[in-house]
Amino acid sequence: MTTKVLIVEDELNITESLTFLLSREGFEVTSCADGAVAIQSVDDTAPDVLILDVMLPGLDGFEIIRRLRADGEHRNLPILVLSAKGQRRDRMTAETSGADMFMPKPFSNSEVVDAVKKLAG
Amino acid sequence: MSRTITGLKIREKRRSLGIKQNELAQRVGISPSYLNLIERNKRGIGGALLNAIGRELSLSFDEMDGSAERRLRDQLQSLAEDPQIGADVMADNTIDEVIARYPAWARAAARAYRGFQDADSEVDALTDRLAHDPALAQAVHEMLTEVTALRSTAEILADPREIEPMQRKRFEKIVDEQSAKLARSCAALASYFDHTSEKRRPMSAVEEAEEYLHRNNPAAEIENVAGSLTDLGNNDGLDLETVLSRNTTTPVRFEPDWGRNRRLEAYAMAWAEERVEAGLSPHLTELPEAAANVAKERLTLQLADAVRLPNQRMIFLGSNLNWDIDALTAAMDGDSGLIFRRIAALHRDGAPRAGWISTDASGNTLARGGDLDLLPRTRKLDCPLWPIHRCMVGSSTLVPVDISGTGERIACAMARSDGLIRNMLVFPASQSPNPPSNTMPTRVGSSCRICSHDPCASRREPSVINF
Repeated sequence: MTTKVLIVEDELNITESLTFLLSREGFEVTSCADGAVAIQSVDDTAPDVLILDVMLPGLDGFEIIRRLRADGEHRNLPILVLSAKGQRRDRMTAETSGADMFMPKPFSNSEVVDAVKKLAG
Repeated sequence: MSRTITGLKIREKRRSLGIKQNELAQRVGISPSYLNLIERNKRGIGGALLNAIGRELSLSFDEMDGSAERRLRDQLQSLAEDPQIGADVMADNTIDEVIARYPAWARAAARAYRGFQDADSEVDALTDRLAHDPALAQAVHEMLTEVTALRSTAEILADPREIEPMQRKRFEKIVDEQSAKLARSCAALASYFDHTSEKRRPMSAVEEAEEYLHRNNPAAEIENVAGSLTDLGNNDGLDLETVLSRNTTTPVRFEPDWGRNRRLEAYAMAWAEERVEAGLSPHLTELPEAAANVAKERLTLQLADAVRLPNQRMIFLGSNLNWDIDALTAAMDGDSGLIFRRIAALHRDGAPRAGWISTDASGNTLARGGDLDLLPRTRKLDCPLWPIHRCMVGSSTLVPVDISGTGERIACAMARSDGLIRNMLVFPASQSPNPPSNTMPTRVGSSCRICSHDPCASRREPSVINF
């Protein structure tokens, strides 16, 4: 069965690169660019791994994680946070919000692919 | 407070001038015993008597009535009370004595403390800005996002695995778009830092004075005032030394072995100091006292230079001698400093465009002038490759230099050492007064610690920045 990945990222060129990379690795990739519809997208696509940017229009990434974790259905959804805010404080916020992994931008493609593979189990 | 300071001040100054108590008392028309009481702080003093003693001892009213000391005392009191410095080092009742007996040390301590406070405030402000400035945070965020997209796409293109032609074309387009966006973000960020550094308060009195003079230098007024004096001499058929001596009230002392040029310099400085004190640049009151004093010294020297070597004569000599520093120096009895300073001062009035810097033998900057955009932003020229650190005594050579971080990338520098003082002019390569040697420009950098030039035979320590 194909592993599904949802990318929530408002920089479309990053989304395009990640989609290409992960598709080539055999993942089924969908994406959205608006924080406000991210939770709905999770409900609609039921991903196995969520890749989430922090600074998003509509709703920021940390708040999306908190809401997903508060919802019993997504309590265990593996979440990889990608953020240009690489400060220690943001990393801690990601952890306390319930993210599984935090990766500061800029990252290398192999790091992301390896992280997704690891989270997908 | 002022009585304590004033009495001690009078005694210290009188002794330093070698004037006996009864002699001073006689000059100001009081009895020696009364002066003794004043000096021992047993009697107050003010009004006409204070002015008379001030005149005799060359002390300003500000110094005499203790207001300068009061300010100094307040500053030292703050220093003593600052827990970061150590309150126990200076008990309250010793501050007056320190000010009276060691005024230069007291002023130095106050200046150092002001510098410490300024630096402290600036660190706080910068830390706060980095943590909370939304514009900076946004700019950095955008840049990192663009770098991420660029890096990710470039990695895909560099991957040896096959990519469909259409897909490859699409990624190439992304690289093009992202690199353009990144270039714009970098420029915006650089502009942001330029803007904020312009607003930054200078760190020292010298820097503050230099920045003020760079923005408000009354160069035209200086040339006019100097020109009026030389015109006076020309009209009356008098030589400059006579005109200066007749228009200067400050006594000028000469050493017996001084030649004409040295005497002229002494007269010109005394005359210029009087003009500056009389309000050549009244807006200097906007500056803190220490910076205003530095600015006054610079203006005094500038005015004295202008009267010794007037505008038209400098341009005439320079044009005729092809701005050859050594030939010009010989024409001015060996005073190379005057030539360097006048070229810099007249860089908008016919002399070549140039930035000027003067250092002592240990490389510390004494003064800068002219077009500061041609000089590094930092005052200290740490790089040993600057021609000013390698120049010969008594001669100068124009050499090409490759400078980054200034208004010109390639420039020509001309430096000369005379005794303990070294001077250097930096010209834009395109406006150099005469062709430099055909050698490759010497790459001059900042301090080794942050310099990217590698390899460099003059490197003293590794750079802390990974370039």
